[in-house]
Amino acid sequence: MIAYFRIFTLVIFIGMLIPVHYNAQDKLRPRLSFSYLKDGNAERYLKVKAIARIDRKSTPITRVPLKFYFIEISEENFLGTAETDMDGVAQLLLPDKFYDLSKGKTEFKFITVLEDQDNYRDVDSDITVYESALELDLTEEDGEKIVKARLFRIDSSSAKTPVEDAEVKILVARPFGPLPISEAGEVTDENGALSTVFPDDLPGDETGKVNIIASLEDSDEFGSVRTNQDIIWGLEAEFDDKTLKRSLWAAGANAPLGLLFFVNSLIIATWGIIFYIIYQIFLISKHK
Amino acid sequence: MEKNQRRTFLKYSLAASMATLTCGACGSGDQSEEETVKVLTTDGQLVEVPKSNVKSAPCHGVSPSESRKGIPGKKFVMVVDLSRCRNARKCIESCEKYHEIPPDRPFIKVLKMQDNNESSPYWMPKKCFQCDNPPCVKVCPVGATYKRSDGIVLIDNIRCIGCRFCMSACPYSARVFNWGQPPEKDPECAYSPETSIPTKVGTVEKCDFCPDMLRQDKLPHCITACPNGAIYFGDKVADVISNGSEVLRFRETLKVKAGYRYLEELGTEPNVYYLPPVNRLFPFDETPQEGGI
Amino acid sequence: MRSYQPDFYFLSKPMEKIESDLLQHIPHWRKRDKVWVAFLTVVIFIGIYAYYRQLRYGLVVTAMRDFTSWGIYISNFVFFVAISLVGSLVSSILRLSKAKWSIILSRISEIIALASIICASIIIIVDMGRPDRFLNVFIYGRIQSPIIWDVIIIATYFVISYLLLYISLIPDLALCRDKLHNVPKWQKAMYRILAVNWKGNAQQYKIIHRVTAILSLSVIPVAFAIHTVTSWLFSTTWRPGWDSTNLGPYFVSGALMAGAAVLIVGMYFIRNSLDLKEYISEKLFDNMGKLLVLLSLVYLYFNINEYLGPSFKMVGVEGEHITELFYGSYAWLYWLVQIFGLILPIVVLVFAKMRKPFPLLIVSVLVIIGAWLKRFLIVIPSLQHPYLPIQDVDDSYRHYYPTWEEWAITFASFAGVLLIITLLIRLIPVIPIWELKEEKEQKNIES
Repeated sequence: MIAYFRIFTLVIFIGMLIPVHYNAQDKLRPRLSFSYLKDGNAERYLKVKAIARIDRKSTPITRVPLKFYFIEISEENFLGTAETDMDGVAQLLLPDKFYDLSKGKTEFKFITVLEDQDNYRDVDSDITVYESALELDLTEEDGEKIVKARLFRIDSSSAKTPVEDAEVKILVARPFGPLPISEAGEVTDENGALSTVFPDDLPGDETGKVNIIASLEDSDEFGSVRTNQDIIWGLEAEFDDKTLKRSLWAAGANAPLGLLFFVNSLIIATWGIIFYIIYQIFLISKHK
Repeated sequence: MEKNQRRTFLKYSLAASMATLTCGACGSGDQSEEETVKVLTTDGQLVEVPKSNVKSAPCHGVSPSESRKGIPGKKFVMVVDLSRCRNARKCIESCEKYHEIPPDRPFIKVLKMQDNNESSPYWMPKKCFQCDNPPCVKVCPVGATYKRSDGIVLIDNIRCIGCRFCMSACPYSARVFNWGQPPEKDPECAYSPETSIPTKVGTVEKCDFCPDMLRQDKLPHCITACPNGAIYFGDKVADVISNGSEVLRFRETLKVKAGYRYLEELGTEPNVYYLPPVNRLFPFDETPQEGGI
Repeated sequence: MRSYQPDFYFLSKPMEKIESDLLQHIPHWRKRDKVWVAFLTVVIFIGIYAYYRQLRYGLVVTAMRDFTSWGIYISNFVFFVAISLVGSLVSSILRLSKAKWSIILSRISEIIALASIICASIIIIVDMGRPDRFLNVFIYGRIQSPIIWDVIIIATYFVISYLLLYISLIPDLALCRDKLHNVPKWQKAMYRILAVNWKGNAQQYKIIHRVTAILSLSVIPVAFAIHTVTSWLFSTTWRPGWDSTNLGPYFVSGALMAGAAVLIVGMYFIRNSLDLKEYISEKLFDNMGKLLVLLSLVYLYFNINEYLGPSFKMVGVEGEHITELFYGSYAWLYWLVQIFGLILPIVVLVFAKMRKPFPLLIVSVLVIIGAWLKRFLIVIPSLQHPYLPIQDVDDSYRHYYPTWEEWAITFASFAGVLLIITLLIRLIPVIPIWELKEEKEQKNIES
């Protein structure tokens, strides 16, 4: 699932520019962009991108630890620490502690802190999101494959309220990012639903399996919410490994048979004559 | 204690990309005994440390023998939308940076093309076309350049004998040669044909489609560097291409936009497609243009 | 006696005299021989120094760059391969066509062939960016690559050229072993070993005749193959000017012509310096002059074939390449080569007076220079007209003026060829004495 997360590069950008006091030695102003992501089928993540401007260029701050808290900065609300990677991105999979702390709550406030590092003052950023549910229905009607996504807000009594006018997208997982199959800019109806027809000519894996995704991105209310489901709806992937065939561009071991035959017979014929002649020279030397 | 802790931080944070970025700003006044680099620390300071202290970035390129296999089940393609290129040259810059190539022999060129006197000139970004009937691979005497199952043509610069037959054979002038000794540096990662780093004197190089990035399911550097999203990259098997922000179906895009391959008549069957320079985003301008839309 | 042809007048001499005439140069190193060898050695050492620089700094010391990625090393290689065909021309084609006079020239042409094929192999290694990995060719060789075909055929041709020279040398080596007493010990030992116990008995002669017949037949396809395969190094690529089905015969015919010219020059200097005016007679020059006209006509024919089609159609980059040769920056060189290296020999050598040794020498030198430059014109301008425009490059990438290192290595390779030839003719008789003897005996029987 984490790998899956990487595919999904759409990040909510609700980062705040924290004014930092800095003295003469300070040359950098860290900026944190903080986002929340809920994967309906699995887990929830907090993600922070830390950058600084150096020579008017945005430069990721790599390998710094960021601390995460729920509601307020305190020892008992501490969720965990994550370190930024080479792109300055730190990601925290919300631990079980979060589910304990948030029991009965449907409004979540998260805080992230880049702790004092000699020359920085504390830099922090926070976001607030509401609990949601994104559901995916895959049905076949009259030979058409219909994908239907529905978005609900969950209140404290666990009741579901359909969310209207939300920009939910339906996508299919692909390498280098999922492919949208719903119309751009389409929003949910009064039932919180949005549907699209799955194209009948899209390849899946070797068995035709595809992974269909419903996704709400960049939402102030809910953060990023996503859900996905596998189904055998795609065409079976056709992969032709031409490197295994004999060709002029293949490896030496895969040379065309005709060429091998031609070249080798010429070599054998010519060198046969050469060795015959060398043998004759030997015969000359044996004469008395 | 304090000092010790900071040292650990340093070890972690002195990443390769950071070092190059910050060093661009630092000038070249210092000449100490041991080679040093300037790096950005976690607490935001520029410090100078011995090079031996710098921990390397994670390496994703695989060994030369492993690199002959290709990423299973994939067939990589590139689609260049000529209507979006304004010669911003960011692809060239990012390629130079990540492949550590000097500017005099870029893997990518942005060529000014004009089909005839009456038609308007346009910019054509050109890399290696990773042909399915590759002239360069055919002629290589030692199999130093090879075609993989995922369609990528790579060069093993440990095997290359420097005969330059592949350069003569390539009709697209995609290949460059290390005529002189490359500048000496300690490589961050072991040599991999997938990164073409470190370079070696007397061997051939070219655009490699960044397989080390592809292994991480990331796009090649030039794709994400383009401010105009002019270059799409993807997998033909999955019928998808992406320019980093927009994800499209490969075949549909070619169909709708009349995609073509350059010099199709040569029969090299390139894996780089072009979308014609119609309905352009920018008027043609000779001077290099900064930035995007 | 009157039955001897003009080219064999010297056979009227007694055999002992012929033998001593043809062996007399071997024990005597004159001062000018030593100066000549010393001069060649100096040229070779300058070339070795240039190559040392190339090894140290890389091919950057040459003027080759990414577009002009092959330079005079390759054109020089093609030239040497070309002149190596002379061995098969004389020892095989002329011999099989029963041109008796070719006996006199066969050894000289075989020496030239062996020397030039050796230097061709060396120059191709000099062109490699990584000569330290030369063995990769054998470890990882791909049979699909024309370079591998070339390696195979060059190795084969080298061995055949060597055998061709050596087999017909065995009886003469035995003669040297028996007759030459005032030579250094190592030289005596060399004759003894290489003469492989040659006694001159009937069985041995039988073997040598059979082997020579087989060799002179089998060398023809190999000789044609070596230069055809060399032409395929070019015609298997996607380049204007090389993308031609005519390239094989074009190369082979040009090679035979250049080879004949080299042989004429060799004849001239060997004749004068070894005092062999009676043996290498004016009649031989006349014959070679006529042969050169014939070969030039064949080459002219393939030249017209090579350029007419493309220049009539003027397709894209092919047309640009033709324009560059006909009217562009290479035009002066192109027309100089075609006129002085091809048309002039045909026109001039038609006249018997011009087939006298000295005028023929001058024409042959022009043909050789033309042949060398022609190979330059085949290799370099094609590379400078790729399908895609050359843009965004340093000015040095757009043209090609060879550096001193390249010239030094090229001249060293010429010096190498000349040195091998010189040393060989200092060690062995330049005319196969035993074949003259057979010829004389046959004439005696006839008369």
